[in-house]
Amino acid sequence: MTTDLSLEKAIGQRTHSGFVAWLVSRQIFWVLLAAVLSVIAMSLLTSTFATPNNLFNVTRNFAFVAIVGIGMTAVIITGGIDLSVGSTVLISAMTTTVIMHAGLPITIAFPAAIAASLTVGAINGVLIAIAGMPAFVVTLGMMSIARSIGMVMSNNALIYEFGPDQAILFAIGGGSVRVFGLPIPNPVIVMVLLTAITAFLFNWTRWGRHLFAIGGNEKAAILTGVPVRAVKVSVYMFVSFCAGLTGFLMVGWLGSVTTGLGSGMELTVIAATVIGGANLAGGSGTALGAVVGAGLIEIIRNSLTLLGISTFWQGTFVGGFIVLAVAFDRLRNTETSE
Amino acid sequence: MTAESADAAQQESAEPAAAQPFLRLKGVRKSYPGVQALAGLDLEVRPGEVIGLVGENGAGKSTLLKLLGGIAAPDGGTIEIDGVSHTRLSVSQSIAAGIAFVHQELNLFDNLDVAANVFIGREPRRFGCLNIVDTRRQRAAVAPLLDQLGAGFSPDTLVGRLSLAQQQLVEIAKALSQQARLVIFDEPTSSLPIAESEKLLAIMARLSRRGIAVIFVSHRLTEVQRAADRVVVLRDGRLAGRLTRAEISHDRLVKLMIGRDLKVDYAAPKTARGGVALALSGIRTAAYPRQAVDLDLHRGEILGLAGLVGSGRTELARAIFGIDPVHGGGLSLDGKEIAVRSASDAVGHGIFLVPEDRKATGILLDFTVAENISLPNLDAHASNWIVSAGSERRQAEASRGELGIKVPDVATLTATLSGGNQQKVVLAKWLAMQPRVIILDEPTRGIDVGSKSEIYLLMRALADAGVTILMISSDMEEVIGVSDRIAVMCEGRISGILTRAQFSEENVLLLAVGNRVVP
Repeated sequence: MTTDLSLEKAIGQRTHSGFVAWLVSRQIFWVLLAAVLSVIAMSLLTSTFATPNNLFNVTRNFAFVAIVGIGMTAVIITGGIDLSVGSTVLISAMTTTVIMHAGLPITIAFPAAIAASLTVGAINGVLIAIAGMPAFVVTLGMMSIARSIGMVMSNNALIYEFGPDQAILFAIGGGSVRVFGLPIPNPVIVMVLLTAITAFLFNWTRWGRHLFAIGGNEKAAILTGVPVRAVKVSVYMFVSFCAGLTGFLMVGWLGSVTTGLGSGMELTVIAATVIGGANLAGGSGTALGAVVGAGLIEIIRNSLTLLGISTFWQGTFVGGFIVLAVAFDRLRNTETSE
Repeated sequence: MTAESADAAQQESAEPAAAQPFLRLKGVRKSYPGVQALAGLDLEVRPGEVIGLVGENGAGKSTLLKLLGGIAAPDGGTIEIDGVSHTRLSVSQSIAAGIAFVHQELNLFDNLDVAANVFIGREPRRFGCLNIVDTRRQRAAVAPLLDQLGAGFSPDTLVGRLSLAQQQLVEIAKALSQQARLVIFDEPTSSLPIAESEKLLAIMARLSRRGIAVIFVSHRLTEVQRAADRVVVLRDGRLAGRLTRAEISHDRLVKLMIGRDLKVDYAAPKTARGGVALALSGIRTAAYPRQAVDLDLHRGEILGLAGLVGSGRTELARAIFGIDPVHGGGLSLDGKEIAVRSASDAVGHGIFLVPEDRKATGILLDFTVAENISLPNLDAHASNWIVSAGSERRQAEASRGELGIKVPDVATLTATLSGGNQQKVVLAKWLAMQPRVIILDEPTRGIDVGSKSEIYLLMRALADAGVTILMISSDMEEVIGVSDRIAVMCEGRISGILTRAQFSEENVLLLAVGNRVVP
């Protein structure tokens, strides 16, 4: 009898709720709405927000967090976490810097940077998936180790000489592409492509299905023959790849690398994914969610600066949104369980 | 228990039966959204009587226990304790009235000692305002209770070190220390070895002699028959019948429980079994590394694997399926040696497992029916890594028809299905992959009688189609009814294999405790 009724209810929900109801039930919709409203408000309130220059900066700034956030979403869907992404960004940037400073071409520096990042991810993945250690602790350790290695690589020198391919490097990270006459920063292009590819992977491929299966019920996934260990290793490598990409782009944008690069980034990235609807307990999350979450955080940051409010307030706003996002999630869960 | 002690128990129970009822329920009703869990139940409990409470899943037993424990409030009716009537009980009222529970899943703290567990939340204090727990007094109070129960451990033993049966004694000691007048045992023997179950039944009799009433919830009808002074049968939230000790019989209980004479349909094999499909040679599991298991499973047979809890059956299944590392020995499938180091290896060879704990390990509740069915077989629905939703859906629709999964749409979340239908989804996902060997661990636990028959028919249809089935089951009727042969395990080894002519509960039990079969 229980089942019959809940079935009827389920069918009812499916048929009566149209597109609007579906939209309203999505966390990402509300986050997007908040972001759009902030943009409109800022455009009306200030003359400085809606300038091509400022918008260019805002989009580029959040692209970095968003790219790493897309990778983080994959990890969080499986029920894991990666605290070492900020340090991986540094490892990638340092590898690029050291190799190019030595006069080697970018065609060697870029693959090397990505390979270094993937190595970090592979170590994380093996320790977590195969040795069975808790992701939080492994990546906390890796956060420290990777940053320290990055510092060693820098040899305590600030490098702004990148050899013969310097112009290419700066053009990739700091340049832009004109789309319909608008200059779009390259990191944004990368972000858009990565979002599309990842959304596709999540929704339409075996890998994506396996991520959700592991996050939904890892034991059942193992017993169903899902290659859980391999998928988990791949997920930590994927987020490290995203971090590596970001590190490489950031060198080109900044023109130099400090040992503080990417420091504290992991928390912003996790905040972005959570605001975008990923559940830290695993089993849910979208690629677009991380991007929208990162966007909202950057808009808040930028708005506060333009409004002349101390950036010290930034944390209050971002923190408030995190709590709101989780509260929203709770609310939605109690509604469906009733 | 012997006939003598049963008689003694009966004589003793005859006397307090005349006493004033301790507890009296009148027309108690409780409904949950969509379910009438209790529809006007009357029940009387007198001091010192042992009442067997039986009924199918969903008959209202757990709801009744919740109302008595003060966890849920009835919608109507009265609960009378010592003549004082209440419309509902709170948790503290229930405890104050002397109602204590020994649950199937024990509520104990493994990291604390026995005495601390008994006195948790009401520890004796000393040194006035310093409020220091008086551990000495605590232990001194618990020791005699443990003695009374014949427990062979001291009050300062860590609960985590005790066996399940010993932990139950701790729960009972806790009930006694609260001056319990009614102790409710919720399926206490379901995970106990036989010898321990016997002891527990003896303790119930001892409680009853002291004037403490006992309600004994169990699915093991033979135990109910032996321990209870009378039996109350629930069905669909109503009282289906009361039986006095003299009237209790297995058949009558079953008839009352399901409301009709039930012959579970087991379906006889249509085809003779084939050659050896899966051969285990010298398999050693982590649980019993010294016992090497040899076992041949034939094509098209259902081999029942019986044994007591802890005899190593589940561990053997997990080893065959590649989840637990094997400590030696090997497998061969159709005469060829195979290496199974992970569940994906096993799946690759066409060996599948339907695990015991469906919700925790068998199925993804937040996946749809279609997604669950396609999960192990995504390759078949994917071209160039892209999963085709259409192909997935077609497969699920076909399975739905074939297995009779009752669901309006295969895009329904699996969480909303009944236990029987969820189990069919688990079977469907393996059937879609041309299985060669299916291991079913307690395939019908928690599934209603109607769906049971359907699952047995399915198993038989699979076997007739040449699939080898290994069925682990603790349900004696099921093992004897469904199996073509029964292998019995005892302490990690196969203690014997029975053919159909040798099937009897007695033979299975003899082998399960390590004895030889009576010829």
